[in-house]
Amino acid sequence: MAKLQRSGKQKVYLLLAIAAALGTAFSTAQSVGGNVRIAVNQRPPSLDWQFTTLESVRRVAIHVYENLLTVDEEGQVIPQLAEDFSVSDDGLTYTFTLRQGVPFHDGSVMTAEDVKSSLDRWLELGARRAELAVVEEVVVVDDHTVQLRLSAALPALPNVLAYPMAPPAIMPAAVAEGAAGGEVEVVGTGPYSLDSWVPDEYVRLVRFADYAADERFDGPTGFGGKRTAYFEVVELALVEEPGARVAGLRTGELDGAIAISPPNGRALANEASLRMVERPQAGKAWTMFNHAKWPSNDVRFRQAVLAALDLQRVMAIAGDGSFSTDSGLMFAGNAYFSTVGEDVYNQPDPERARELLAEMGYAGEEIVYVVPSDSAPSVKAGIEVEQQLEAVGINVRLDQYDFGTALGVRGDEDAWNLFQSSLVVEPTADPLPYASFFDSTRRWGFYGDEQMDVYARSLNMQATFEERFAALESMQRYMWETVAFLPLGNYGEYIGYQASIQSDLDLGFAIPRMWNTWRD
Amino acid sequence: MFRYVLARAVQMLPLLAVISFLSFVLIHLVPGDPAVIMAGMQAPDSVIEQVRQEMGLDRPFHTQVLDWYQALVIRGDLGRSYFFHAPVTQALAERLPFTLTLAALSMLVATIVGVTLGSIAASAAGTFLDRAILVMSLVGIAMPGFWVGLVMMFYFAVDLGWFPTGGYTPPIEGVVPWLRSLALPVFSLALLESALITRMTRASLLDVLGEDYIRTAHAKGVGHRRVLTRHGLRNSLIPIITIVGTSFGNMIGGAVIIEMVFSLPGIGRLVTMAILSRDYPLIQGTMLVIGIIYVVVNLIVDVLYVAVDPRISYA
Repeated sequence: MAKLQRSGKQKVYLLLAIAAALGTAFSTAQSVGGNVRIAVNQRPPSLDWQFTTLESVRRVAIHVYENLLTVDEEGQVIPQLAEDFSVSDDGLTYTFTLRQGVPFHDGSVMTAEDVKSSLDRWLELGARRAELAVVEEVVVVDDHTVQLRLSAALPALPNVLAYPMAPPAIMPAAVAEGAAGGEVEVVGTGPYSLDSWVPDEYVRLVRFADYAADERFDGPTGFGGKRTAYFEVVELALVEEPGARVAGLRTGELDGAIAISPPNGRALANEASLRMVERPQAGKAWTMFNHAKWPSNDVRFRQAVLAALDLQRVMAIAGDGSFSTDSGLMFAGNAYFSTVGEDVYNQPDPERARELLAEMGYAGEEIVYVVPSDSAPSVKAGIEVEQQLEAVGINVRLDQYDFGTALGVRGDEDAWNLFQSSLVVEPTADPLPYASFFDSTRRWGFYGDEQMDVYARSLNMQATFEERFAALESMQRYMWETVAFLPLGNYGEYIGYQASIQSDLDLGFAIPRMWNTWRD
Repeated sequence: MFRYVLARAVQMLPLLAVISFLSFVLIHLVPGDPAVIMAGMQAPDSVIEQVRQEMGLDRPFHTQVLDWYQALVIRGDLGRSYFFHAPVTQALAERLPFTLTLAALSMLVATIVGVTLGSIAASAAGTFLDRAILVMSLVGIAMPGFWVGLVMMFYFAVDLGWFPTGGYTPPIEGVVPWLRSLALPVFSLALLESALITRMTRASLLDVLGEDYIRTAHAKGVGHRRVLTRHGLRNSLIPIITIVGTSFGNMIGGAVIIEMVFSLPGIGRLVTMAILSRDYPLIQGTMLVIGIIYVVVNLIVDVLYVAVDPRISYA
């Protein structure tokens, strides 16, 4: 499997190189100017990318900040602000040389001191700091070189640094030092700088005229490469009401809008002035079990739930017709996608479910199933799952709450058995978050399993793709064997743009990327 | 009168204290944690615990309550919003004028439409026109605000292109763009209340039109329109003013929905976001301000009674 994935990946690389070259050739004809207004559905609680894992923050941050390393279109690690890096033979010292002459939005030029301060801040209060707990210190070697000294080898360190969720974004030392979590002044080296932010209205970014494009690349890729800002102003407008996003696209008041439901997306696809891009893998509908409470802490109950469910039907309803089903932890198309577990995934067998329930002594006790009401796919999946579980004799009480309340309930180990969620792991990204979710120290759904710990922890101890892929497959296999978690399948949604919006990049990408994008 | 107003203002204080205390208790009783919402559900517990400490949420509940009242009474400080990264007073000051404008304009439209239709229905009682107005007002009461807003948006903004689909243009950028940006929200919000005012005006006016002095006026040869406006409508104003006052409060509630539908920067949308993200200081501040609006509007209604009915006196 790994070999097949590799060969596919190489083909994609070749295509990307051609696409990037063509994109560059076309983009030279583009001129700077104009504004673009994209409607988003969630308000970022902060613009501190180091501090919060939310996608709403990432949408803004990818335009403003850059990191030492980032990911390309396929999720592979590429350098961004690092010129290069090397690792010592004992694996305990990573040395990063930095690109020179890279200006921050405040006019200062990036030095090793800025990088050290940014990394130190992240190690102190970054949302993912636990992943680099082995870093003992960050040392400035000279103006353009920093070292990370580790207490134990961590071969996946480059992947951790590059992963685009709450990464150690680089900011000026003067900004990083002493800035409380969530309160940092937004200054980066990205192609756009922050102009203004009204939390319940919009985030407005302006083109950074002195942006130092990464000339090592022919064009943009993933969150890095050679990025060029064409739009003078990028506005991410908060429009929570789905109907208002549709209306704004139709009247042309919005240049783009995310999170368009499949029925609306299909209807708008008939309008010549719009380009509707279907994202059939917008997220994974994901059912969590409470591992601290009977009967969901019994593997036979979890297996019974899996056997009770016709996941094809659940996902067709959850995704409003835009869906796919597979046993992968990663999305199909990702280099780390694996079908391990397909022998148990979506094999509905209600009789087997009843046998398992009888064997464990389940006698119709109430099962509390918490569903966040703010997410349409979660609600639809939840209602269908509830009905299918009732059909095999599981007595389900479905409780719908707003997301904040649902998270509060989930924190109480006596209050629930099943929790419906959705998981968005970037299509470009690494399986890294799963190593964290599944680790027993995380207590995700009060889960803890020594064997899973071995698999999860081994992921970050592997450096090569093949080794990491094998580690992921071990995790995935064990998850399905024990039904530790239940990824139901993938639901889709649409992103819409005016047809006049052109880009060198894939406009159907999970997050709107407004560099190398222009109005025709 | 002045003493009456002053006394009522003083009476407001314990009421507002109760409102703010209840909102404090209720929102803390609901499960949910602003630290999780800030750090994201993918953040580990240790990070969330640190955020909780930074927000001061690890302090005992009674300490949080006392600190909040202390800051309010001593410094007039409503605290700092977790998610706006600004003082609550600033967030409210920026959004309150919008919501008051929206509510006032909606009230104006609802009153003009409601009193006019109600008067027509009363003077044509029992006719087809009367029944048609009654049915229209019933439909108006039955339709949910968010649905009316969306239907209006799709018809008047998308299909006809007369108005923007959402967003707010301040008057400084031109009166016409300002009115265009407010038109659909105002009419969406006014619809329900105009239906209520229509029904109340009709009922109240019909009561008055059956009085002896109306018959006398007719007998003296006064014209029908003059009898209706000078004698009828004026004497039926008390219940109408009451319902208009209540409606203003409802408008603030309705603004919660309409501001979300049309992406408008008012306190309705502010309080929704505050509640969904458990922004406790912002919830407290907004509830207090909404409470003050209700109480002040009630006071104004009471004062207006005196203006329209000389028999009423608070002296």
